[in-house]
Amino acid sequence: MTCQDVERLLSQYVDGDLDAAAQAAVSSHIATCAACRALADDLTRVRNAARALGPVAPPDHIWLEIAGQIRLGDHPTPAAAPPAAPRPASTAWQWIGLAAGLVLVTLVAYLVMHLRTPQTPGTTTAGNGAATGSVESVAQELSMALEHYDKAIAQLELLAKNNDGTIDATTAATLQHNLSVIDQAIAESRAALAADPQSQPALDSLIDALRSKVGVLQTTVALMNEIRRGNQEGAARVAAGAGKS
Amino acid sequence: LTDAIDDEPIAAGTGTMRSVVDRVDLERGLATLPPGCRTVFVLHDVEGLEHREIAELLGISDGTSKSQLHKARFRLRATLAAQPAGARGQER
Repeated sequence: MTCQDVERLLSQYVDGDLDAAAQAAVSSHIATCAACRALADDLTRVRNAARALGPVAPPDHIWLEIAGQIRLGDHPTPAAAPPAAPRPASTAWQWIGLAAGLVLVTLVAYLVMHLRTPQTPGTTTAGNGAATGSVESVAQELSMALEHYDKAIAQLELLAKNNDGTIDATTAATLQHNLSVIDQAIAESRAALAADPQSQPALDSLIDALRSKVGVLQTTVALMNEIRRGNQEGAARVAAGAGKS
Repeated sequence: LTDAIDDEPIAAGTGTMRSVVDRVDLERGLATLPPGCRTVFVLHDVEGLEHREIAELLGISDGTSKSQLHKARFRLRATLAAQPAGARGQER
């Protein structure tokens, strides 16, 4: 086994993830190779240091800044009773939420962008490629966008409600309440669109509300990632830029 | 997330790490990692998830999770080895 072979397996070796034969072969090599032994020691130190990191709590002011960036609607609604949710065993669930949320938010942003492309009212699908101008295709895209959007919201709500102490309870509640105000605007727009599916103002209003919520989600996810990475400067930069879009 | 997967080749590097890894240095090193391997590294090494769990959660294969962790650790090692002793005190 060459040093190159060992190097490829070393990360798994320090975790004891290799099969017995490979584990023994690497052990045998590093017993006689100082360079590979030093590399294995370094990887072990990196892993052990990471294990000792533990959760990084975001500072309270960051969450207040997020809440302050959220555009408040004209019709505040009483905060809905939060649904019972299982308490996460570790902050891993926050990362899962962030990862899933980021993917979903990206999807929503993509779909919303496409919905915002100029659509000529009454245009038929004839000669229009992928039928982007038909009412049916718009409705279908809108339905997909809303579905992804709802999932993204659910992820964020999990983060806010399954609070294991990382997020200050008062800030989490403020954030949740403000998000519910935007939800109200979305619900009203959806109702208007349901009553009159051809209404361009209702569609514009719904898309604007969605964009507003997507913006908040993107900012929140980006901010949490910066904080989780320990990048306070990046977090402050994201928070400062949150209201500019 | 698959768009964020780091598929750049990495080298072991020749630097030498200090025997004790400073927490702040590690966090700064983490901030420089590409998103894909950073996510896997945090889930595995910080949060203690298994590759199987990470693969399921992120929609990637076990092998991808392992290779991203490998890259993250090697990149972190290179970053930490490149930092001279006392680097923290010299910054900003």
